[in-house]
Amino acid sequence: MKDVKYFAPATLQEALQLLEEYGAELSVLAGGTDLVRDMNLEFKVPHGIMWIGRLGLEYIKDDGDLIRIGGATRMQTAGSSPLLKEKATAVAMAAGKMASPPVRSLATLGGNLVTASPAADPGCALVGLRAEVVLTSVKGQRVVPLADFYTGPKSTVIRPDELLTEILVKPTQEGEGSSYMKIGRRQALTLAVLNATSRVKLDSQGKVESVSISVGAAAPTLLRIKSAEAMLVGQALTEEAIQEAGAIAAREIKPIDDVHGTAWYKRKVAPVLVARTLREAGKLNGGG
Amino acid sequence: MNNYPISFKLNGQAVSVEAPATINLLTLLRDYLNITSPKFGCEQGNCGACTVILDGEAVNSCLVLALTIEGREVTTVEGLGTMENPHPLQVAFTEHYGAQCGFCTPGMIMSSKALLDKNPNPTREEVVDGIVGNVCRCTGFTKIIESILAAAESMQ
Repeated sequence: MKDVKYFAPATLQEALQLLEEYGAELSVLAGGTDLVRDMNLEFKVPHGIMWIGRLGLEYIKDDGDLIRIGGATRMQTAGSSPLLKEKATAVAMAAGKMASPPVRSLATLGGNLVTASPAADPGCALVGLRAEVVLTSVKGQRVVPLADFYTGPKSTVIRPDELLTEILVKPTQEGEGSSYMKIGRRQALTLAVLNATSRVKLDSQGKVESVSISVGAAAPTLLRIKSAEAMLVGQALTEEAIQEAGAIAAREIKPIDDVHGTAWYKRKVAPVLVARTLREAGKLNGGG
Repeated sequence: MNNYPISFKLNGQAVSVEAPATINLLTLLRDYLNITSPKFGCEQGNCGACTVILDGEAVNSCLVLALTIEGREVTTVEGLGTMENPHPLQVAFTEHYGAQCGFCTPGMIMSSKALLDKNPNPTREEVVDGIVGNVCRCTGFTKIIESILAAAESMQ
């Protein structure tokens, strides 16, 4: 058995120095619900482990323009946050329902994003909210739109010397809402057969001023359905427009048959789920 | 293989132990500290048989890297009650037939305790939500839910 190094740095600076020194040899441990599981099942034996639970990266704050969520914020914290429930509803919905209570008291939002499952629930919500992620290294910081962060299943643009330190979400404004929904094989403790998120802002005439739609578990990465978004902007959010957006989503996704559901089924439910999230996001006026 | 020292509070007592970097809290409890109430189930966070309370919150101990509990507080069924003086949850599980084979029971009890600590008067739905991460393969959920509701009532 090889000797596995363990670090529990007390400051961000110390953590970034360790990443600079060891790079890809160091596995970052946030909540552990993926890394420790993979170690238990012997899918992965890391060379070294760095736990980031002591860096003060669990927080949710509104700085006026942006909601800033610390990378190590746990699901239960996000799911019960009054700020997220009000101004980034979709992510509170996704985080608050993910897996089960004992998993939610460990799993973190940053970990969920870096693990890069194409079916990730909080990831789907954050893509649909047009979130950005802050990647920090000793060399500095860069901000990447979450939709561009993913490059494939379990693959992202993060470098081995970088840590995902913060998630940025523009809070929903007056006349704007967001919604996240999921179809699973059962109510809890299950991966998504398909999930979807919509963020909708209506102007004073009830026309769509801005919109974003994401669908998960339907392609190698979480997807933004930009053609449906472009179609909706400037239109009234009628049932007809909603149905058309759903139909576009069904064409845009690239599902495969897997143990959670068939590609055929995913194409059938994608328009239904997208339509439901659009209706709910569009109805929640007043910054919901 | 290098061992690392870990000091933490286990069921109210200060404990110091040495363990390798790769083991989880479940293994630390069962194999290093002879705390055998948390059960070895799926090791993936799917079954809840290993649920313990870490700093006041129910967690799957199989998903917690042992070294990360340094300075923290862990509670298991061993810290809950004694044969002479059982915890109200233990009384209720006995009286309402909340245990069949018993394998899920320690995890059920710890999830229920975490729930009742935060929400002493839960609705049936909140109880179901609280134990959604604990699988009973005897499928005795009805009796388990009744036990938890009865415990909540007796603790009022």
